[in-house]
Amino acid sequence: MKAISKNLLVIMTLTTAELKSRYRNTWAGLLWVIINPLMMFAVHSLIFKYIMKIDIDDYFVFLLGGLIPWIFISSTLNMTCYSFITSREVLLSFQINPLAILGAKVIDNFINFIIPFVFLFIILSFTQSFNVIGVLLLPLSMIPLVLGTFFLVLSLATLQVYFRDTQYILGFLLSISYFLTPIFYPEQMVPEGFRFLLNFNPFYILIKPFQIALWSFDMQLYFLALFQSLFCSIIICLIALFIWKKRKNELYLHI
Amino acid sequence: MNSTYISDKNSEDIIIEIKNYDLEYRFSRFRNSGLRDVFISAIESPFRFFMERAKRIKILNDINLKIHQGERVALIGINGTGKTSLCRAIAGMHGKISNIKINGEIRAIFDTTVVVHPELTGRENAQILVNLMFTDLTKEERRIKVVEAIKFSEIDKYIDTPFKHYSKGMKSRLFLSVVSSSPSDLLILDEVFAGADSFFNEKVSNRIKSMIEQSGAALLISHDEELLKKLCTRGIVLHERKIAFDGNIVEAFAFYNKINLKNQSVRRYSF
Repeated sequence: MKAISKNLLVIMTLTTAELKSRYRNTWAGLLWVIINPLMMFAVHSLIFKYIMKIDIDDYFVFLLGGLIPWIFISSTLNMTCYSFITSREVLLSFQINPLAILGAKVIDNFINFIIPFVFLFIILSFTQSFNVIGVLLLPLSMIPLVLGTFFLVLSLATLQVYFRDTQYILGFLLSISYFLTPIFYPEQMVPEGFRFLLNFNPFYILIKPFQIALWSFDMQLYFLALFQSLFCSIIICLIALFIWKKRKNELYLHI
Repeated sequence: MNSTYISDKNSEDIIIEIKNYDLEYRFSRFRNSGLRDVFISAIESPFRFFMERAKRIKILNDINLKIHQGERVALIGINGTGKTSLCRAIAGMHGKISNIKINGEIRAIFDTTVVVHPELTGRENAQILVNLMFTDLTKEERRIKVVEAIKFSEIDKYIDTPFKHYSKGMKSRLFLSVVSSSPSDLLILDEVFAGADSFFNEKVSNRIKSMIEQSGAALLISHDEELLKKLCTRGIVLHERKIAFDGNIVEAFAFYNKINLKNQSVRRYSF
């Protein structure tokens, strides 16, 4: 219990410091956090809704449920994969739990995800209708999303210490996953014979509860997707802890 | 050439006890390589890939050590002999090790010029340091510690300016003021005096001295012979990954200088 409260204090301190140093005396920093996903949202809307004329009802709502959580996962993985290396000096100088550094980075990115998500939700709620129960269940969808992302980050950041090209391979895998994950097209557009493959896409499993809650709410489908998502995050957690346990004691010798 | 240090302290005062401790570094064939190389090795020669074992290099060899309450111990040795690695092992950075028994709380500092957040002010960085180092204190106790450390550092005039504008000496002052603000069972300081000016070194040395007197022991690493002689009572010389000498600080430096001279003359002959 004492160790948990100590680590929580370290995570809170590091997260606050990250946020403070980024947004210090500048609204532009905060604005960038909104502009970046907003631009992505606008470009996706333009390309798929107006140029490719994809035939989906409430496409903006669909994008909100898929694209914004995807941006959270991909940007968190990209930004934190190198964390143990970039935090080398701090890790080698203090007795800080390396997991606290990753935790702080994931929370920082989560806050950066929530701001544009809520902003877009408010804007869209003027023109689109949302299922109230689906919206109320949204916080539940965030639990496996954050846990899954954190443990993916833990695996990748650990691997990065030992295999220095991990981030390049990650960039490549994320580019492929972007097309293979139904975030700008619905699952129904995937040919039936290939649809089973989506059950092996961890990104989609983590994102799916958002899409159902916002775009096509059905209580039964939602909870099924949520349990799948939780199960996926547990599997990711077990793999990450296996890698971490095997490698953590030599981490300081390799960073 | 081994010398055993006989402490007059009793066994109940032991803060650290290390028995037959080895630290190894796995030197795999993938060193400095990436996943791409692992993939290529696995395809090119699968048998070798799965059968070849990683080589191991010893960083520390058969370390036996006891540190008692109130002792000020200097770890002496040329660069690369494993001084910092030993301190990191004691601080628990290499995980829980059954050969190392710790009786109390350890506070370890390995660098005083680490910029935690250069954009933030000195005060904010002091708050961060206090939060990272004194996690067991209450919010109010940590606040008081920040105020006291800033006062001790004598840089209150610049404390609300960004940390990135501080000189190395100023950073060191603030850092050392935080570090030395509270006693702990064992304080590990690795080259932390580098960068601070001589006047402040004197001031901080006095504070560390009084801090040690208040409670625990200290394990110091520095290349400053005079400073260590002033601060420490006991010296441990690490040579070729082993404890080569453990005893009085003056004798430890005599031993260290002797092996250094010997090594230098061997090097001269070999050219």
